[in-house]
Amino acid sequence: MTAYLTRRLATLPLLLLGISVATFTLLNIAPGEPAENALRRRNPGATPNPAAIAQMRAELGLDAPIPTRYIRWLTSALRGDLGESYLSEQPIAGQLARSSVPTAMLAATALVLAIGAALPLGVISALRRGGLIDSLGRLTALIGASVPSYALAYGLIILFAVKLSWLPALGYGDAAQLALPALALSLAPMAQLTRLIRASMLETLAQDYIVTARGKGLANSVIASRHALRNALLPAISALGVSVGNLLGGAVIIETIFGWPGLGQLIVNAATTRDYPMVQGFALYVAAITLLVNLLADILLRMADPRIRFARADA
Amino acid sequence: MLESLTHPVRAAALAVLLAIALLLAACQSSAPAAPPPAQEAPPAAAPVAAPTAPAPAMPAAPMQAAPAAQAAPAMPAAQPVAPSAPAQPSASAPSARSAAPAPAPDNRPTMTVGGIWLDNGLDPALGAWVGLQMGMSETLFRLSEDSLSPQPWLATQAILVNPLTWQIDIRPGVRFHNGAPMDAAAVKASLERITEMSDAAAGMLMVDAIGVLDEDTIVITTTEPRPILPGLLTTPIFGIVDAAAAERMGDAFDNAPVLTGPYMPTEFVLNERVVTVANDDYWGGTPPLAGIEIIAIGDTKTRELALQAGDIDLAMNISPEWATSIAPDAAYRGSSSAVGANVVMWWVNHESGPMSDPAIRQAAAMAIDRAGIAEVIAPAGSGAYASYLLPSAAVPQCDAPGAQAYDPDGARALLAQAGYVDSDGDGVIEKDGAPVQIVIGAYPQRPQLPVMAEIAQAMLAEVGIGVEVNITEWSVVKEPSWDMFGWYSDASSTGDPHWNIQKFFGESSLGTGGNANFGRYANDDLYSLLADMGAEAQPDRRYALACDALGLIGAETAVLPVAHVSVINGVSADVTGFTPHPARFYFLNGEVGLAR
Repeated sequence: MTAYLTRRLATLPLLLLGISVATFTLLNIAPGEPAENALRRRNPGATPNPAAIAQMRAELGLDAPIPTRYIRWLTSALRGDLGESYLSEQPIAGQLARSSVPTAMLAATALVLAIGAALPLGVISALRRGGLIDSLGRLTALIGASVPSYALAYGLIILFAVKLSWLPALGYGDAAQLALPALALSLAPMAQLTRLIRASMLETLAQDYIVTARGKGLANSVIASRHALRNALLPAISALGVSVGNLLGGAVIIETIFGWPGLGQLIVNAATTRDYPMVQGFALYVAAITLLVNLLADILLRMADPRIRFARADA
Repeated sequence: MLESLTHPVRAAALAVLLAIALLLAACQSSAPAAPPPAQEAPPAAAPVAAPTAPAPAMPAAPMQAAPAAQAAPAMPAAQPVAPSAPAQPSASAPSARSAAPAPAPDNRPTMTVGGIWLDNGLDPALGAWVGLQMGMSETLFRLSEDSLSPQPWLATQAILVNPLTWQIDIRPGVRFHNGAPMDAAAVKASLERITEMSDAAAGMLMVDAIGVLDEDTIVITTTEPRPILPGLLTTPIFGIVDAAAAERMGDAFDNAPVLTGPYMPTEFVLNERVVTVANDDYWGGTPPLAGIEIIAIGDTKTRELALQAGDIDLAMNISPEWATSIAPDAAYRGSSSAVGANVVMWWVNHESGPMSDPAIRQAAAMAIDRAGIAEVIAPAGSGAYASYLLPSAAVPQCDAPGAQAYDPDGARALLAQAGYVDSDGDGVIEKDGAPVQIVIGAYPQRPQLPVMAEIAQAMLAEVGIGVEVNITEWSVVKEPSWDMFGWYSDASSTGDPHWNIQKFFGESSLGTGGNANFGRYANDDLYSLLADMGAEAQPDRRYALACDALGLIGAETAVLPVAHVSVINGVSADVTGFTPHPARFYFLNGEVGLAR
């Protein structure tokens, strides 16, 4: 296991390096003038003149060739310094950390909602295949998987805030305000997990050892909970790793809609204003989180399923 | 069910739950505390000399007089200095207010406002608009709702003593939020702080020195003639702050600036919210609200739905479609200013490509039904057809011809006369074998632009001009790979036509106002008109020159204006005293209240 972990951890920096090169290149070849945006932000209402823009470009180090700028960025990033935002002139790391709290809360709540609903729904749907719950579960999964999250978000606001007045449409700070964005964000992973658990449960229930267990005269509930679920959950665990990445991506849209002051809002603002260091820092940060969560999911999977050997990576 | 899971999985599940609990706890503790109670209001100050009469129709700044005051003398240096009534609490200013402010009633409601951005701090000198927009910050002059001309606000009058010297009378009795008097010395300190902090601000004013004549009068001398100084002082960056407090507070000032407006900031969370409480010592009278909470809601649809759900009382900038769809509902309404202060237009490429040929340019202008497009992109109540680059309110009594009127037959004739014919029958005209194909650029953030590009594409096809529509980044305008480029711009800042024409065509930059002549239009006649305007101090002469310049711009198809649009705001039926302002700098003031 140590060898496996070392190998996986050793590939992390390489992956992050690749991601940072790709982000940096894409950002810098896209049209846009960060220096002008920075000037406009600092003095709204005035159109910056070319001399001021040139001066700002020099100030921001944008007059150097792209490779030089990348090396500069990388050297300070390796020292833990992600630079300052072009617009707010605040350190990137601090802003990422501040915005991470609301996003983590939103994503974690959405994940708990998704798991909490998908687990019973998936299992019962498999056990009572073709029954009412199975049909309802499949319908929910279909909606969750096919309706875009922004449409769901607006639908939830119209239903729960405008029509029923049960929950606030937006805001950040208390549990009621968390409800709608978390629900909107949880539907897609909930749908995905429900379908996965149901399918994998059905597959497991058809295995020989389940037939053997039945032959031994074990009760259905014992077979389901003790023999089938344990194995059926394995694909769900590995899917969870991917879900976290998707949740962070989905949060970009959901946070914008609900005025939730997290990473999503931060990155949307940064991308539209060509705040290069902010976008670059964000990409690195989210990539690192996603890679680590996937690593964690893999470790969990291997711990849960003794058939998967850590050494297999060597084969 | 969990019991049957293997231990590692159970542990993981527990860990996730624990993490969530921790996060929730962290979030609760980091959630900003409730705004401090109103006792944080400044200490009771000496009675404010409240206005005793409703605002006169004529503005008090003779040099920047509105058209109604054109009879005002050009050099009114001897004009008596009479404190004018405030510009802001205008016609509805409570005239029965006693000289001593009554103690604030405790039962005043609190308003919640859905703003768009809160991505700057609140210090005006650092480029923040929010203070001015939301009733915290005030400037010496302010643009009027109807004529977009500068009117006295924290100043009572401005007199151009000589081309390089302005004498500005400061409104007596105004106090900062901390109770300190806003006298001439304080205004001087504030202006000096801003010009030291911002090169752009210094470039705009071109200040040589600011002197204090007496307690209520400052004298600004400039290095070059600045006939539009009062207009420049309407820019949000020139919000008057307590410079001494700024010096003491250092960086903290950006989150809690000491200003003069009817509401005082008590809490500021970047990109999230600003909380304000009433300034009961406000010079314009006791504010009708206990306080205002402004929330940043970047998404237009969410602002609209939040207003419908009753989460907010006022929503900035809603879509025209929504305003139309809620029209039958009495609980909220769309409210927009009568004057559209922003222009929706096309840049025209004068340097290269087919549009650099005057015949094609004119024919294109005649082939596009701009008035028809304006009806689509700026439906009644949200804007109007733009015959000139600037809204007519900004250039009163101008009757110069605008751009070519819609005349597709005329366009065909003009093209045929210039030798452009469709010789191969493919529907696209050619000259010397080269088909006339143009690119119309647009950026999606302003929904009007892609729509009008597509309509123009169909209209130009009617006269044989092939069009490719390119929906792209706004910054592509700087790399003229296009022949026409859709543009949305403010056309009213500072209230001065010279400033606003110059910013589209300026050969040299005005202060650091800049040069954004993206179509590379060059015309010596226009430059000489602009130069004359820049040196002209008399308002009606400036307007006449502006009118000539706008006529020239139209005749030459220098740009193609389409519509002047105003921002529509969503207003709940409970809101009282809200007057939409065409300029985006103004939104809340000491008049807005809630009937609840």
